[in-house]
Amino acid sequence: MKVVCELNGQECLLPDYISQFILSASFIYCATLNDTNNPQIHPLLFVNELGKCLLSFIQNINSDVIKNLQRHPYLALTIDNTDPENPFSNTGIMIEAIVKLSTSNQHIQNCFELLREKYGDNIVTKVLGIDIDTNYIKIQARPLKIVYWKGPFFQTYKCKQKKYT
Amino acid sequence: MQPPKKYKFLQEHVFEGTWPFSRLKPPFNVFLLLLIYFSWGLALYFTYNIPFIYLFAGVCGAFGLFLWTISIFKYAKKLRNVEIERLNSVTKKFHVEFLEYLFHPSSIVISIAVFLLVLTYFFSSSSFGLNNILIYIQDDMALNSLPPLLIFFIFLMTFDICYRLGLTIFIIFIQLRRDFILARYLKNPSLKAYFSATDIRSLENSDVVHYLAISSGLALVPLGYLDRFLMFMLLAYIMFAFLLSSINIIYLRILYVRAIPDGLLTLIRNSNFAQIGTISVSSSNKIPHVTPTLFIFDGRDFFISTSLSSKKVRNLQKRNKITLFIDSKEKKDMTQSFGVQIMGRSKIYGHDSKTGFLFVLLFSPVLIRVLMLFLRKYPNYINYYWRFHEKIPRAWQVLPIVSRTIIKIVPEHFFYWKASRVDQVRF
Repeated sequence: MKVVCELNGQECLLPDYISQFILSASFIYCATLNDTNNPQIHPLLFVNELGKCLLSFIQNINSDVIKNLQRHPYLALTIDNTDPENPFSNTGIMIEAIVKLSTSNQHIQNCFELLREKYGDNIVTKVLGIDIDTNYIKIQARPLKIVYWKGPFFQTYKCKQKKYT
Repeated sequence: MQPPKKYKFLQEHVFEGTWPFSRLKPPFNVFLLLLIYFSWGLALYFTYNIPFIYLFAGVCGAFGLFLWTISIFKYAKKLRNVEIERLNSVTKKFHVEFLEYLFHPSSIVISIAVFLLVLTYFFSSSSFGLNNILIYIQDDMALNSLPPLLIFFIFLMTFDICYRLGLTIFIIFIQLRRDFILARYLKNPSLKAYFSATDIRSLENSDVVHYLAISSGLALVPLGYLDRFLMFMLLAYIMFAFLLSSINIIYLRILYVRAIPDGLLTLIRNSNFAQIGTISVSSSNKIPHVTPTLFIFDGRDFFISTSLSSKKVRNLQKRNKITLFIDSKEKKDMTQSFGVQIMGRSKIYGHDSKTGFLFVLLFSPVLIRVLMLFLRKYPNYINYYWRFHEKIPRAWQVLPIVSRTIIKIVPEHFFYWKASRVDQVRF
């Protein structure tokens, strides 16, 4: 995954260790805004779409995540690798993103297949259910900003819009 | 939705049914009562040439009554504001039973008993060689007997005071009875699920209003100064009320923790990190912000420690809504993961060095306790941060006030999350 970004005003590519960190994560913490403007956090299964800087996941149409995103299409995604003993080993990424919702059966099915590939049948079926054709919506999150930290050191990458390679 | 029945104290009913109080809403009707006492007292003072000390005592008495009534009305209003229809059947039954007892007219029985005791004291103390306030006024005014209007005024004010003293004790006993019933419910696993920790906290917040109402009784102390025995009895009564009310509040705090499901309480106590969600309002859009953070739970509120220059602090300064998410992160089978989401409001103990210093002065016991809890939970972290102090950017060094601040999170809603469920369940 090659992503053109901006770090301290300089154009650059998103470092591989950050892309790999995103791709290797299992659950991702997703924060949306609910109807009372409170942040609402949900752990989600997600996939990265091949060759694109897009993170995708599917959710039930009646879920809080969908209701929140229909009202307010921004979210924050966090992946972390925390160490309870050594604070300098903590690594993590927070992505601020804007979303696009899709009800297309083909998109949903594609995403479902990618999720099954990544997590296996057992996990995807238990978490998302079996009846995936109906009542589901695919969410594509396009990153606007990626913050990477290792211990107390932070790097903030602003994603260049529509310049995916 | 309003409760099916308007629960009111006896005095509220009296105000509603008596002109001119019925024309005014609280607190103006209570203010009118204060005005009536003031003008009546002043008229008596000038008519009968009463010594000034008695006028002063009367003013204190009327003012004490005013504060007490306002607080009790506020307490009643807080309880009435509970949306009973929103509650589940078990909590509804529990709450309605509490309100039925609390607002029962029999509350006046204790008040009458107290009034009768005071009357007995007024009329019989001289036979035991004790002088009372009535005898003191009579002597100071050099009269053989007190004017009927003055006696009526004194008795009316005495009854009003006794009514509040009796009502206070009645309320505390009903609160304690409610606590014992609640404790019984919480001991039963099948019934515990019906009770929400945040609802118990709302009860506690209402009870604190009543707790403050008791302190208005201290305004009556100068009234008792004229009669040492009465003052001693009044102080003893107020101390007793404070003691019982404190027991009630502490007990409710214990029950608040008990209402959190055992599995989730263990998760909260054993987890090292919580995902902290805030809202970024720096741009024209509201974008959520979420990062893992160390936290502590003191059995009541959550606390996090963060850098003064962190995004969280900037976000919370503008909008104090905050969410914590704590999960079990099951590595063997992630579908077995479960967690708890806590939505609440935050309080920053200083968002820069100046305000931080002020908060340390004002809230040092709280902050020292929080610091001790952090030290106990994360000894290695603190140790690492101190050892490698110079390698860390200044903004993240462990320097209270200079670079770090404490954020308190007051829970308002708890949600249970399970990986295999679509949505979170509020409890």
